[in-house]
Amino acid sequence: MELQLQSLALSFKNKPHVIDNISLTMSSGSIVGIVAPNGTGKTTLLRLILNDLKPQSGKVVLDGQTYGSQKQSLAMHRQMCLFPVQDDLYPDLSGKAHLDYYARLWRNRKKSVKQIITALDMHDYVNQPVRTYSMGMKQRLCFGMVMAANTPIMLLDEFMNGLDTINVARMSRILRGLRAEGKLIITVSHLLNNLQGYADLIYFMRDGKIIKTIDQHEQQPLYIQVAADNANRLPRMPWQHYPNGLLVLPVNELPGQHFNQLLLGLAAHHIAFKLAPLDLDTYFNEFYEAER
Amino acid sequence: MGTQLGFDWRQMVHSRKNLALAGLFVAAFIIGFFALMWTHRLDVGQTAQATANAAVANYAEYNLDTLSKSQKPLLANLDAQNSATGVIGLGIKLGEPDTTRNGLLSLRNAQLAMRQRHFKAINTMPLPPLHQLKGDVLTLTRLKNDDKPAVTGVTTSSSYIVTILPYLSWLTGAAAILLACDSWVERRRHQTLMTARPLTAGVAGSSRILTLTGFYLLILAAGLLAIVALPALFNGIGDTAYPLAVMGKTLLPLWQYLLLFGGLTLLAGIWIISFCMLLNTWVTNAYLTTFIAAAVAISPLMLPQVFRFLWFLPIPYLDSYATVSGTLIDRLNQPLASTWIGAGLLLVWVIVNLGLFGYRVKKEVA
Amino acid sequence: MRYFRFQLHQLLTNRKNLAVIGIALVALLCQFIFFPPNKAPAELPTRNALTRDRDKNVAFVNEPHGTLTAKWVPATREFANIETRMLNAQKQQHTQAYVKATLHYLAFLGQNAANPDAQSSPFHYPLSYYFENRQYPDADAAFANATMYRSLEPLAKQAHPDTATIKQQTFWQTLFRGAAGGWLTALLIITILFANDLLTSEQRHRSIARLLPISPWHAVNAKTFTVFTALSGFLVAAVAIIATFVIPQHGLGSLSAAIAYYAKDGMSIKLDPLALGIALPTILGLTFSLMWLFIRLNLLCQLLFHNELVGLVVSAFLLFGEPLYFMHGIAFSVPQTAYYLPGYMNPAAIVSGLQNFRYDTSRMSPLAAVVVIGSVILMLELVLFIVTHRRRAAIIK
Repeated sequence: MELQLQSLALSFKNKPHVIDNISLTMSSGSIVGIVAPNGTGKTTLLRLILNDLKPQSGKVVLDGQTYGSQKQSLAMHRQMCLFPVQDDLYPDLSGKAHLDYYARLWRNRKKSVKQIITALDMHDYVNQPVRTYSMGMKQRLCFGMVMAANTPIMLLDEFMNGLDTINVARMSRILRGLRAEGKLIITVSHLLNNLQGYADLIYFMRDGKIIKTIDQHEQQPLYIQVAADNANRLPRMPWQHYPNGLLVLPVNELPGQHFNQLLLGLAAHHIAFKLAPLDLDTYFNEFYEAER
Repeated sequence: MGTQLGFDWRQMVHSRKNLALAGLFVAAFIIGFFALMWTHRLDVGQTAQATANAAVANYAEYNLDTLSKSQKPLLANLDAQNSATGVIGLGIKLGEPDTTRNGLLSLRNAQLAMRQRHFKAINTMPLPPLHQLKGDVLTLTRLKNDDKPAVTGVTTSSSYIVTILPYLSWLTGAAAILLACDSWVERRRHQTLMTARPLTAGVAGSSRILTLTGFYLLILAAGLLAIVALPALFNGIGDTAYPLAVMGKTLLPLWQYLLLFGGLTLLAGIWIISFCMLLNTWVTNAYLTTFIAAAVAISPLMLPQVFRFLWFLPIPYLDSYATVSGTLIDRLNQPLASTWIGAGLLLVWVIVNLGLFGYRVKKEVA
Repeated sequence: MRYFRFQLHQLLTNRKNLAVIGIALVALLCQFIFFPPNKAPAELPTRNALTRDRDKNVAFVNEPHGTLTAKWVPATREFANIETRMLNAQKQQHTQAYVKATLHYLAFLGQNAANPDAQSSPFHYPLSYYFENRQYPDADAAFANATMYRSLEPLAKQAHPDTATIKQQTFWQTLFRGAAGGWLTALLIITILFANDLLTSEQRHRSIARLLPISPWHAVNAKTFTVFTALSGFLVAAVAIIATFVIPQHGLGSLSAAIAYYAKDGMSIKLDPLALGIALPTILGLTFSLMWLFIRLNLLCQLLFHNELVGLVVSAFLLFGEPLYFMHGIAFSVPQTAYYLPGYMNPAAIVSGLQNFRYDTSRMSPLAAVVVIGSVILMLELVLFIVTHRRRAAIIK
C-alpha cells in the first residue's frame, strides 16, 4: 500500500503557504515522523491527508485512489484513523465503550479490544467513565482507539503528550509491533529523541515545505560533538556552532590521522565528547532556533 | 475590576447565544407588529365583540330568574355592557374615534360596576381585573375630557406600546432567563483559566452581574427601538402623552409610565439574573437552570392563592405590568402587592441573592 | 447498527433529553391529578346544574306573564320537559333514554340558543364558552353542540349505552380528547427538543465524529431513527400512564364510538360521524409524519447553519405561527391560508374537522394534511439528500 501526497498546497487568509507544494510518498510497514515547531502546519498536513481540509492544489492518492466522490472518500476513510483529541472524548462513557465503538465502526475483527486493553495496561480504569481519567490515561485510551480501529494507516498527532517514561516506552514498543504488521504510521511528536528511536523516515517542515529528510535506514554521517563551554580548550578546527550549545565537527571532513589525534587530545584533557550522528534535537535547534 | 469587566463584556458580546437572543428579542417585536396589524387580534373591536356575546348569553341565563328582584340591576348592567359594545362597533365602522372611545368608557364603567357590586355573572363574564378597570375608566375619562381618541388597535408606536404592555414581561423575563441561564456555568467550561486567578470572588461575581445587566439593558433598548421605530415608519409615533393609570389611581403620560415600567422591568431582570447566577452554583446545567427559573417565574400564575401569603417574595413582582397597573393585587387578592412594595422587595431580594451567591462561591473556592 | 446503538445511547443519556421526558411525564401525571382531560363535556350539564335550570324554567312557566314574556312560555315548557326527561333517565340509570333526551336537549339549544332572530331568548349555550374570551363564543359553542349531537346519535340506537362513553370518558375517547387538547403539541415540542442538537452536540467530539467511516446520509438517517425509537418508548410510557388513570374508572371503551367530522362547502355544513377506530390511527399517522418532518427539518438546519437556534426558531414558527396570519373570520378573504403548513400542526383538529370550522372550509381534510405535510417532507428529503451527498459533506463543520 502506498500513500502519496502530490504537490499539496494550502494557504489561509491570515497565513499564506501553510503547506507549500509538499510531495511525499509513504509505504506500508513504516513509521514516518513529521517535525516542526508549534503552529507551523503539521496538524494541517494530517488534516489534508484525511481530507478534513481541502488543498488549494495537489492531491492525496492512496493506492491510486483520490478523494473524489463521497463514496471514494468513504472508502479512503475506511483505511485511515486519526488519533482523537482528548477533549473530544465522551465524558460519561467508559474507555471500553470508546474502544468497542471504534472497533465496530471500522469493522475490526482481527484485533480484540481485550488484547488492546492488556497491551496498554488499562484494566484498572477502562470501565470507568472518561471524565474520571487523568491526561495520561486519556492519551492511552485515544491510542487504544486507533489500535481498535486497526486501519492500515494511522495518523498520530502528538500522541505521547502527558505520558510517563514507562508508557512512552510501551507505546514505542507497540508502534514497532504495528509497523511489523505492515501499518503505515504517520506521527507528529515533540519527543524527538524517542521519535528517533522508532521512526523510519523523519521530515522536517519549515515555511510549508519539507526542508530535510532523514532516512534512518541510511547510514548517517558521524560528528564529533562537544559542549560549547569547552570552546577555548579545543584545538583550532572548523567546529560548527549549533544553537543548542554544541560544537560539532563532521568526521568525514577530517583526515584519518587528525581524527585519531583529536580524540586522544580530547580524552587527555578530560573533555567530554560524543561520536555519533546528529540527533533530532540538534537538527531542530539548527533549523528553528537559528531563525529566532 | 476594570480588566475583569472588560473581559466579561467582551465575552458577553461575542457569545453567539447572546447575540442570537438579542436578535430574536428584536425580531419578536417586528413580527408581532405585523401580525397584530394584520390579524387585529388585540383590537378593541374583537374584544368588545366577545363581551357582547357573553352579555347576551348571561342575559339569557338570568333574565328568566324570577327568584329575586335583585337580579334586575344585573340585567340592567348586562344590557349596558351589550349596548356599549354596540356603540364601539359602530364607532369603528363609521371611523369615529370619539364614538368608539365613549362606547369603551361606557363598557368599562359597566364592567367596573359589575366587579364592585359582585353581581352573579361576575364569574361568567369576561371581565378585566378590578384595578385595570379602574385605570381604564380614569384613562378614558381623561381622554374624553381632552377630546382625544383611545387606543383601539395597533397603528402608531404609542398604540403598539399600549397594546402590548400587558405581554411585555413574558418576553423580557424570558430574555433575562436565557441570558443568565449559563452565567456561572460558563466558568466550569474554562476551569484551568479560572483557577487561581488573582481575583476575589466578589470582584468576579460583581463583574459578571454588571456585564449581564448591561447586556440586558442593551437588549431592552434594542427592543424599545424596534417598538418605536417600526410603527413610526408606517403610521408615525402617535401620542407620547397618552395617559395610563398606575395602580388604577394615578394617571401618567405614556413616556413617564414607560420610565416607571422600564425601571421595574430592569429590576425584575436583575433579580432573574442574580437568581440564575445563584442557581448556577448548584445546578451546572444551563437547560435545568432555565427550566427552574422559568417554573419559579410562572408559579404566581399557577398558584395565586399561595402567593397571597407569600407576597413578600419577589416572584409575583416579575410581572411588571401587573405590578404597575395594580392587577397583581387582584390576582393575589393581596392589597400589599403594590408597585412600590414590589420594587422595594425586588431590590432587597437582589441583595439577598447576591449575598447567597457570594457565600456559595467562597465555599466553592475553599 | 453499531452507530445507531451508540447514537441511541447518547440520546437517552443526554441530560437535557432526560429532563424533557421527566418533565413531560410529570406534567401528564399532574394533569390527571389536577386538571383531568376527560371530565364530562360542558355540553352535558351535571345533575345539579340541570335540576337548578329545570326548576327555574318550571317556575317561569307557572308564574303569570305579560305580553313580553308570554311568548317564551311554550318553548320554556318544552325545554323544562326535556330537562325533566334527562333527570329521570339519569335517576333510573336508563342510559338509552338519557341519550335520547340529551339529543333533544342539544337539538333544542342548537335551534334556540344564540339565535340572532330571537333576541332576548332565554336559552344559551354553556356559559364557559363566554367566559374564556373567545372571539366567536357562539360559533364555538354551536360547533361543540353539533359535534356532540353527532357523536351521541349512534349511542341512541344501542339498548344500554355505556355512561362513560356518553360522557366521552373512556380510554379511547380520552386519547382523542387529549390529542385535541394539546398532547400532540407537547409531543411535537418534545420531538423538536430531542432533534434540536442531534448534530451540533457532535461538535464537542469533532475529531471523533467528523472522521468516522460512515456517510453523512447514513448518520442523519440513523439519528432520525434514534429519535423515533426514543419517542416511541416515551409514547408507550405516556399511554400506560393514561390507561392507568382512565381504564379502572371508565373502561377501555369501544373503537366504534364516534366523533364528528365537520366540513363546510359554501353554505352547506356537513357533520358526519367518524369512528374512533379510524380517527385515532389517522391522528397517529399524521402525528408520526409531523414528527418526521420536525426531525428532518432540524437536522437540515443543523447541517446548513451548524447551530441549534435556526432549527428551533423555524420549528417554533411552524408549530405556533398560525396566529400570525390567521384569525377566525378572516380566512374567507385569503382562502389559500387553508394550505399553509402551520394550520396542520394539530392532527386531531384536522381529523375532527375543527380546522375546517375555523377556516370556514372543507379543504383542510386529512387527505389535504397528507398532501401538505407530505410535500414539505419530500422537499426536506430532497434537500437533505443533496446536502449530505455533496462531495465534502460532513455532519459537523
